[in-house]
Amino acid sequence: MKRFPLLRLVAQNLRRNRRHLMLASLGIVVGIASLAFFLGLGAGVRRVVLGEVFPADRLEITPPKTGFLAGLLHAGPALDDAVVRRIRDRPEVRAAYPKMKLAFPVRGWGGKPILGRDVAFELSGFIDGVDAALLEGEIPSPLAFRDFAEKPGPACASDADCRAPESCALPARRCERPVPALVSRTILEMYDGSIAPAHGWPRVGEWIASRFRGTTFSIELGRSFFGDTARQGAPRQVRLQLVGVSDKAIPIGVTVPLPYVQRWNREMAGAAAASHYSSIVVRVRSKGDITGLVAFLGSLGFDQVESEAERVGLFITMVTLVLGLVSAAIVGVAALNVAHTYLMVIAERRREIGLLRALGASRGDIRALLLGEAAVVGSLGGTLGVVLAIGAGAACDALSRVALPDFPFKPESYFHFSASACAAEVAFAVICCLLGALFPANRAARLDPAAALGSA
Amino acid sequence: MAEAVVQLHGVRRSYGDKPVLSDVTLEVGAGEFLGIVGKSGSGKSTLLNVVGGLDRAYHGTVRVCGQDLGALSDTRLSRFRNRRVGFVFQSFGLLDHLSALDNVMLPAHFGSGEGDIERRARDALFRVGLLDRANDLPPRLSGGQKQRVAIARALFSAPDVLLADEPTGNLDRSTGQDVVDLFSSLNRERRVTLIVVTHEERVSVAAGRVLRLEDGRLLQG
Repeated sequence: MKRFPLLRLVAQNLRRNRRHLMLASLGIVVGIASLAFFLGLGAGVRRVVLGEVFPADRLEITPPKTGFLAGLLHAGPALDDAVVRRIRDRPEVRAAYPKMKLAFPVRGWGGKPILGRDVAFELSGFIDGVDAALLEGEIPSPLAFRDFAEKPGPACASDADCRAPESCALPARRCERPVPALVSRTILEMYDGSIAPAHGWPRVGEWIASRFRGTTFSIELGRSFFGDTARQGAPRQVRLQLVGVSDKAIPIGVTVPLPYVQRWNREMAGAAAASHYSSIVVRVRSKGDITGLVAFLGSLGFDQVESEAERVGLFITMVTLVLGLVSAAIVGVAALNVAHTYLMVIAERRREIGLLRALGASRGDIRALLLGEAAVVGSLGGTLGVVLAIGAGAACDALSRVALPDFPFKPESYFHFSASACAAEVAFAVICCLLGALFPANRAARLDPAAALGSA
Repeated sequence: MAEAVVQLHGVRRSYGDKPVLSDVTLEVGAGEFLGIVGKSGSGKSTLLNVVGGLDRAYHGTVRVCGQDLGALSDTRLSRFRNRRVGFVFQSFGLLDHLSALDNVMLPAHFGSGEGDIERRARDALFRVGLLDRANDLPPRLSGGQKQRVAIARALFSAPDVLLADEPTGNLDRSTGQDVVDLFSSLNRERRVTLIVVTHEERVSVAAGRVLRLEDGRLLQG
């Protein structure tokens, strides 16, 4: 049969049998809608989680964790500048950003502009420094996340000698800009969810926190609220300035540019503390490079590679797979429904099939005609299902915007409907319809034309 | 007799144990109008199906337009039906969801689609006097008009043989006579080879030769 006449005949038959076929395609529509919905949800969540929360093109390596005895016998490899250089030299590595934790006690206080009064907080173990390049482009001007103490400011006797927001830093007695500080979304959520309600303090939220960018607070290096002091150096106060909220900040605590932490560690904890990084964030050129890099890092002795992204990604994949299988099962049942409908339709059209055979239709023509109808039903049902899924996704997103409170990494959309996925879902609907119609179509093609005409 | 278009030799066909055609031998010449009469259940329709390549479960030899139908594959037999044979049925065999014109063009979907299909279909409708009803759906046509649309469809592919199975069976006397007259004029003016099975006398009167089928055996009318 020629292609165009076939399509014409298919269209004419579909118009005639539209009620039957609409019922048959209902299951396809529902199945594909749920399949597209769950796959879109999985892809959307994966994009948020692996793109923002645990970026899949990034991994963070830490020094190997050793037991007490093993630690005595063998210190293990340290993360120092030599390691950073070796990692940066790898062809699959786009960039490597060292991180360093403060290695001595710290305490802080402040927050009056936000909370209405100053509160004190323990920061020992909760301050780290990161390479400013990791935050490139993230902090809007006029604030900046960089090392302002690189060049010493003018001499001063008190804060009055310095231009705001600079203060007179001791013991050097030099005017210094406040140290740029970042907090994470996680700590804001913790504060809003647990700390603020417990103390009757106002909630902050990410939006409010962003309004208070530029707020300063003080920390005291070398002293904690538990009475601990640094091994060396004299305790001193430093002003910090909140410059933003970032997922690259330490989850609980405050993150400052790496050079500050290096200088403070050298001053309060010794040279070794200033040269050993707590971790290195490595960004690869493509996700596929991670496996090779992990093997390389293993050869360096850094086998404690944190790959939260892989675990979370696997979890999301499993959940999506289960929901996808349930949806695919719905489509499979729908395909059986299509088969049943076609068996009915063919019983009704028995004489017509005999007539078409008498007019010159071969078995292949009859098969092609019925499968063509099934393909159109599948593509229309599949397309409608995908459209419904996209609509349902948009409705969920709208509901989330108005009904759900802000939370860390709350996305604009929970869904991602890629063109290729939508096309694959429609193709799946077509394949299921074709499979459903295959047996009835073969049966119709095998009909004895004389018997089908009822003239025997 | 002119050169034989249809040749049957020793054709036997049975349904289960019941013989329907028994050793049928027949030749039909080009341009002949053959009437086959017989009682209901005598095997007339089966004979027509065998000649038209719709029924292959026979023994013996059937040659139509020089082709041994028993030797053709399903695809080639379908092509043969499409190009060489036109069928007219008692119940018209029109698809109710297609216009008269689309019904006439149906064979074009399966091969005989060369040239301007619609023009050829309109020509066929003109020949049976129904060009003005080309866009009507069959339910809006009378029985006689439906049968004329069916004849137009049978003529669409310019077949060598036109096979009609009780073509006036569902028509009243006057309309049936119109159809018989149409067959006669097609046979006379266009030299269409016609084999009409019927139990109606007026059809057999119009035919150039009449054979009788009794208990599966072909007898001179």
